[in-house]
Amino acid sequence: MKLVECSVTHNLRVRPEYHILGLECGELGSIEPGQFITVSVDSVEMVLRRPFSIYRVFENRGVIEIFFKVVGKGTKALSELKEGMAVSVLGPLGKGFPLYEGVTAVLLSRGVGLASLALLGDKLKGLKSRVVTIASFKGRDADLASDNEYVKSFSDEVIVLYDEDRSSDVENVRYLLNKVKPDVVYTCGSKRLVRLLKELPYEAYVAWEERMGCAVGACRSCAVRTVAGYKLTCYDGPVFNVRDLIL
Amino acid sequence: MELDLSVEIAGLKLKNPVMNASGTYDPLRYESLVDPNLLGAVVLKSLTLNPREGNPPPRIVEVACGIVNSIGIQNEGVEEFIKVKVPLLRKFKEATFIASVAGLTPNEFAEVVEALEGVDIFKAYEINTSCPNLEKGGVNCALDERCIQQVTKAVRGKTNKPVIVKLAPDVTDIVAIAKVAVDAGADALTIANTYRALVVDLKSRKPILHNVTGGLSGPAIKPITLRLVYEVVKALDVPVIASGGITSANDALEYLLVGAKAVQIGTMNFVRHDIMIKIIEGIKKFMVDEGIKDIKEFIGTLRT
Repeated sequence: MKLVECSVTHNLRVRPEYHILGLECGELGSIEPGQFITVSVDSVEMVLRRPFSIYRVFENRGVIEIFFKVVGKGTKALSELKEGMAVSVLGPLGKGFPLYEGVTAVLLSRGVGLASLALLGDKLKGLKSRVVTIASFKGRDADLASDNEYVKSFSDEVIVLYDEDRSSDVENVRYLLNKVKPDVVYTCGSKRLVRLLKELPYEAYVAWEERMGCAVGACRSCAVRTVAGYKLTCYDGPVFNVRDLIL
Repeated sequence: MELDLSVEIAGLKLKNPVMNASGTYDPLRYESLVDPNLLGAVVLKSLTLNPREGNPPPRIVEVACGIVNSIGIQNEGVEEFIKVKVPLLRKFKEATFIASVAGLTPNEFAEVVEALEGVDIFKAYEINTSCPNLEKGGVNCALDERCIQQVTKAVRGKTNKPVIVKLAPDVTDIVAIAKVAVDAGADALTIANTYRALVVDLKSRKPILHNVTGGLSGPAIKPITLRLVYEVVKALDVPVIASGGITSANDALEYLLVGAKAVQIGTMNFVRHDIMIKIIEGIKKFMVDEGIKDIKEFIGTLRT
């Protein structure tokens, strides 16, 4: 874990409310898929650092990307950063996803939760696993997967689901998972999907999200209830086995 | 120029006046970012007699220039802390540790201190009075003069180490409640804790924190707590540790100018994790610029 001043390499608006921010951070150390960074916005008016999964890593250039939706003042400010501007980054933080070789894995995302699973898909592909990406979105205008070359590069199959045609219904997701019969499922972005995975027999992990303070396991703000009592999302997670969580 | 940043609080010598606020920094979790040996002191997370799992989430929310939190004193209990955590803290050989003590009855505070008395790494106790008092139907002890008095007396009877009572800021008369603590045997005071606050969501029409209310901290509160410190140092002859919204060396220096002997950094530890080290460096730079050799010459020199 390091606290570094990074410089913005690019800020791409991929959909009206979605941005990919590139940050040149130099040597952050080895990054596990599922780990996250926190980014400082302005530190006085908006005190808290914002946590983001590491979406993509360009090791040779020392650049990482985060992928976010503009939902409040903090993400609005980040969406307006220009190339060359300095940003304080803390990371990599937390514990990542367990990785398996030669398995069939499903990446099951909701919305921009896809951002927490992409680096994992990339790694799994390198480990000769079969990667099926099931990405659920509100509507076609918020589809972050269909024309995403990075996601396509590691996915053996990309299945995109929408609310507007009801293909994102939990029962359809259940049907799809049972058809793929994965060895492992990884999810992010929806409590509803976590609940579904708790009902199914597949090994499954979630990148959990909770309001965070220090992000290093000191302030105990980001508690999540588990079978072993409260755990800290930032330090014990963000990745949890879905069966350990009490929702 | 040789600079002297050391201060003394009720016989407790600190190498500089900068420490953390309880619950906002953990020397083990911050190890790669902050060397605790360089801090004036390290205040540990509040301990209760029995383990406490804390409040259900959400426990924290951001507001303009601050945060509101309601953690619920999640801790492993004093016994487990001594067994597991204390041995890990021993490697920080130059660090000055202050234990933070909490309880749900005046007697529980005393029992926690009793359990900690044999632990040599603790040089003082900070008494976190912002706890529900179960003997009084859960009323916040920090707001009740009688409870402050009972807790301070109970703790005082168990130790000869310095007892620092941490007060709540949102009381009618901070000087009156500070005097109660001092008269009951407090060696020093921490002024202050967070301010009770509420954050609601318009769409769901619900409070954001699960506990409904929480404590406001961060830069928003600095001028308010600065006034409290001013009132207390003017009225009473007791060392004060200031805690409230410090984001920079200048903020820390303002509290020292007003008369605090030391300062605590809280919320900002979440924002710039190395802020305490930066503040110590900033204080040194100020001393060089202003020709101050000894920080003690600067403390309490406000011209009014």
